[in-house]
Amino acid sequence: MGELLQLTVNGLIAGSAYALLALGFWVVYGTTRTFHFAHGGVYTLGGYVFYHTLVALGAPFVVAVAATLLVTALLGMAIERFVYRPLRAIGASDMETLLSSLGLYVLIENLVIIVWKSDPRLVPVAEPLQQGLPFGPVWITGLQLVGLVASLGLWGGLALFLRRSRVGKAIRALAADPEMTEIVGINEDRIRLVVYAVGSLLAGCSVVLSAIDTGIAPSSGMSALLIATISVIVGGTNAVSGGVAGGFLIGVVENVGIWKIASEWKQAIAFGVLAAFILLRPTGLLGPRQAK
Amino acid sequence: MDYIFYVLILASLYAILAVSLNLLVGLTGLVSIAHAGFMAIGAYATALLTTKAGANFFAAAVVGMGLAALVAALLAVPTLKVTGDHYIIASFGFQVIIISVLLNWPALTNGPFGISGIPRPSLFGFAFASYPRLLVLAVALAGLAGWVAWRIAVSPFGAVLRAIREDEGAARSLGKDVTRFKVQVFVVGCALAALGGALYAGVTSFIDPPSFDIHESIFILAIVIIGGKGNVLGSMLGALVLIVLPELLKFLAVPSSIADPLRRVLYGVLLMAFMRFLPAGLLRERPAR
Repeated sequence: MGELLQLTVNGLIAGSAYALLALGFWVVYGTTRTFHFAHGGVYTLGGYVFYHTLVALGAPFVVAVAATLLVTALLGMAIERFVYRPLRAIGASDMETLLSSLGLYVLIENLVIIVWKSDPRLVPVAEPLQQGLPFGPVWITGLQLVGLVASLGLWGGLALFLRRSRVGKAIRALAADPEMTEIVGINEDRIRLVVYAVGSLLAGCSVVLSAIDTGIAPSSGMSALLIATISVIVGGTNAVSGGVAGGFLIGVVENVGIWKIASEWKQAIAFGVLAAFILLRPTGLLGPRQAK
Repeated sequence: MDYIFYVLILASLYAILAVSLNLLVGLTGLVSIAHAGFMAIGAYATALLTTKAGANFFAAAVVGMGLAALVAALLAVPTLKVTGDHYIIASFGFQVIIISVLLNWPALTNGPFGISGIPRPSLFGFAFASYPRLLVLAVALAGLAGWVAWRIAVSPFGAVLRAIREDEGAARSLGKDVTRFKVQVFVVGCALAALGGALYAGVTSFIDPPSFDIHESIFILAIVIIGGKGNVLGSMLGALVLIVLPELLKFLAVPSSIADPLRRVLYGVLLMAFMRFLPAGLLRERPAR
């Protein structure tokens, strides 16, 4: 019983990381409906910027985090401004935009390989953070606690931003009806820039938390993107909490699954959950009951 | 000289893969990033049957194609019901699962070490042992795949697929069973991908999981898009261009450690450039008669 409880807690912790990944992907996908493959590239590059400033340049932790968030946000905005906006201007189809994004992902990942080589890099973490703390019958490391709190905090922050702020309301308007948004005088292009900045910033937060936990490799972005997309589909694409719910569900199912199935099959378990949802409830956990 | 033959064999091989993916992407409008996964099914089936069971290459390849068709049908029935982005994610997931099975089932696949010593194809005592002979075989198989794809494209069946691509709702309202058509073309496309995989195993005589990872899938997709969606000859031309062009890098004395990523940078950039400036590809789809 204690083992199952521990696995469930591990699942919730992994789920919080997945939820954060899903949040970043959803901000872009849920509002612009662009299948932003290059988001994975933003994630990978962010991880290497973090590694490089912290380890190779020896900068303080806070500076490395700030540099990472700055680079990811700027990269996201640059992608929207210089790749997606010109494609919109020539009336490219969704498929063409997606393929372009895929090409961009390949470009970023391989530039990273050329600069930093393809072997994974580890980021050293302060010893106390790695030690387990007992919470009743379960153990949680300081690092995991930081990740959990950060994910929940960013989720709350994003929900508040979308609900309360002027820009956040404009983003939701864009998600609901792009044409109407333009008609009521909101500058769509500018809102999209904000969307990509926020989404990429969240990718930056994700990769910092993941890098101090397990390090970074050129393929990290692709795995992160897979988890993010599965979480968003499982949770439902229409609400900010959809991807979060999906992320937690996948995290718990994966980790409780390890109880009976070898851990190499984690990704297969996540995919199984996805397949079940596509079959039984294609609109996701929090989606409307009936597909359109 | 052998080097030139080898490059042309690779181009023919990728022509098979691109032509078959073009049936899905170009003709039907289904973007799939799992094509290398189906290629892996053909390659592993061929490798295992020839090395462990002593089967003939061609018999093994046919079994591989059948297996890929079966897996494709099992995958297609649930996932092709949903449209657009859900399907892309499902194919993305499937690609990851295939690699994970190849890596984590060492009893069957020898895990990350792969399978070596795969015999070269032979038919009725005639061995395709040298590169020129393998080239003849590869070109013949590419021609066969191209012929099948072309027959499908010009048939009434192909016309329905194009209708599904242009307006799925309209095709459905004309009484077409859209899901059934999609499943059928998906099965054919994936079986042809397995043929490409079988040939790959026979030519290189060594396969391992990274040979079939998601980058391979994206590469095949890039060939289709750059060659021209919906154009059979375009896929062949695309394969030739995208295989030969990076080979030229070898003459620029690029260190081998960055030759591979540089090759990928090249097709990543090409993919973006084509979407921006020439979305129809090198050879555009010819209007249906």
